[in-house]
Amino acid sequence: MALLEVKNLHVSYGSINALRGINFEVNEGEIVTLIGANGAGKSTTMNTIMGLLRPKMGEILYQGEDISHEDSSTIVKHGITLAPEGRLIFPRMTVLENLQMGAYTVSKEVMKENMEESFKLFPVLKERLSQIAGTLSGGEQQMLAVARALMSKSKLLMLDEPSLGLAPLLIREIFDLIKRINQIGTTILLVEQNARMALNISDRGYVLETGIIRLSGKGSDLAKDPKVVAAYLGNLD
Amino acid sequence: MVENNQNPIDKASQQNLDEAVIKAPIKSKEKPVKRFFTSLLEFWAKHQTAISLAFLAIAILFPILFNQQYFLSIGVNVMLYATLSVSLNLITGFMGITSLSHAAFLGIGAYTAAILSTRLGANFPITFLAGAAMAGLFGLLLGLPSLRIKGRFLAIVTLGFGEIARMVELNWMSLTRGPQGISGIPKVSLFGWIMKTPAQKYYVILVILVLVVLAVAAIMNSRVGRAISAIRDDEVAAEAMGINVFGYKLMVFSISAAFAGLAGAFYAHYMSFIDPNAFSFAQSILILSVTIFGGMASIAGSIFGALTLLALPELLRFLIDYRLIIYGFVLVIMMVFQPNGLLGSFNLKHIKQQAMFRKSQERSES
Repeated sequence: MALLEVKNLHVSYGSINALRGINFEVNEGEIVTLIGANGAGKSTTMNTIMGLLRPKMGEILYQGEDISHEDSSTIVKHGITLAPEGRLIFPRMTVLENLQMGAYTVSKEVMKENMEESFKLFPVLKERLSQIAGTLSGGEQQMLAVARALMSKSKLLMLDEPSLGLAPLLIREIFDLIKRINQIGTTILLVEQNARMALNISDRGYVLETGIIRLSGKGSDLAKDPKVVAAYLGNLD
Repeated sequence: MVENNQNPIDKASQQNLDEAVIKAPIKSKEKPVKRFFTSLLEFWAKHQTAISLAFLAIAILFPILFNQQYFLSIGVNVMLYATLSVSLNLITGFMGITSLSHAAFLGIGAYTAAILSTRLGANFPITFLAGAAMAGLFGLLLGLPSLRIKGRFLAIVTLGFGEIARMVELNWMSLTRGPQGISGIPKVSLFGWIMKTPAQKYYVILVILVLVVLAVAAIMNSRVGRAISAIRDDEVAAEAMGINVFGYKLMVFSISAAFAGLAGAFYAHYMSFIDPNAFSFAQSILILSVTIFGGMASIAGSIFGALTLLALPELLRFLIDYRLIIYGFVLVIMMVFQPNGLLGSFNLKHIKQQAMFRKSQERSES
């Protein structure tokens, strides 16, 4: 049984149909990537899984249980977290307070443990602990957003465009981190514009186009698929 | 090193970030004035309890030193508005929801207390509890449909509610006696002991102010307080962290309204006469001005804001006709040079955290 299974999911914003019946699954321990152009419905998919949006139709099964009509506060307790797009950290709170917010649903002891683990992954955050989060650099803010999402010790971590607006060197660092987080035992669902790098670290990938899944397959295969290359990656020659 | 990486993600909230706090860690580059200011703030952050107690002592001694009706009525006025401003700060400063209906909650509390005491002969603590409960209930009822709306739209809804409340008070003759108001409201009596001298009334509102301050401080220092700050900073991210955003908004709105109702109950007993004009839109704006002038998300700011805005017109009395001009001028100057309000730029909790953090780093370096 897959950890997360999305079945025939329809979501619309008023009269605009953002998702028109998508199906995909995420197995335990995998990194799965959704790629697609702007407006394809990637973020909509994540926000709907998280309970921030309500689906018009379809099911979202998490460990076999339908969570499509639950509140996000309940969904977080199930073990799903989202690092939202555009690094939505809490800019007027300190780094420490941001991390504490990430551990909102777990006990104090678990929070302490998780914080130590985050410092191992993100040593820079330990140095910046009492700094106001809005004054961190872009890369540090992104790391904080990921670290915060890890604080609740979730089973499934959803990352919405973690490389957005970062320098190439930092992007590499972020992707290395994602791989390490996955090796620790967290299942990851990734949404990325940076398709090549995302597909290269993924076990499987899905290509979204205007609310429909066009292609799916192994990450490395998709990265070589001529259609994907033509549409999203550009020809290297 | 700290300041060169500002990120343009959220300009609005960036503007509100306090420069003193950001620059606190780079002490050596600061100008002497700024350094003095920073160390002053750190001193305050470190000895916050002692300093608050010192101010409380001054407030307690005030009626003994200035036992005159005139001074005491200014004192009562300042503390009444400080109470209202602290309670409004909970929803507007800490949670970021601008409410223009605080006078309505003040009025609901006042009318509840007035009606219960004139018709049923009730008094403390029933009138105070009922005033707070009734205002809290109306806060809940207003919040249920309207707190899903955001920003300025919600502000307009609260403005509408304020007007509706005043119109009901004005027209429900059999209950509120309409424009004639309710007169002859008895003084506060504590188990038979009637608070009739100005100093006694002063102490009643002082106790209410202290209780409200302690309650708001306790809320903001708890896990709930962190959730409230998170909601102010980013609702979507807060929701994604597992916070029930709507539930918290509703709770905080209702608590804030209840505190205003408590102040309203005191107001009714203190004035012994109330009419709908006391709870107009202008009153809401005055309360909001005190909160903004004192500083968003700062309890001490609300108290100093009330002290400045309510006591200043009295201190300027020697200027006779020019006094309100000077008063307006002070407001303008303030908003130009210190737009975050008197104390809105400093978060003492953060300053304390930073001072402690720096010390521990210095220790590990040496």
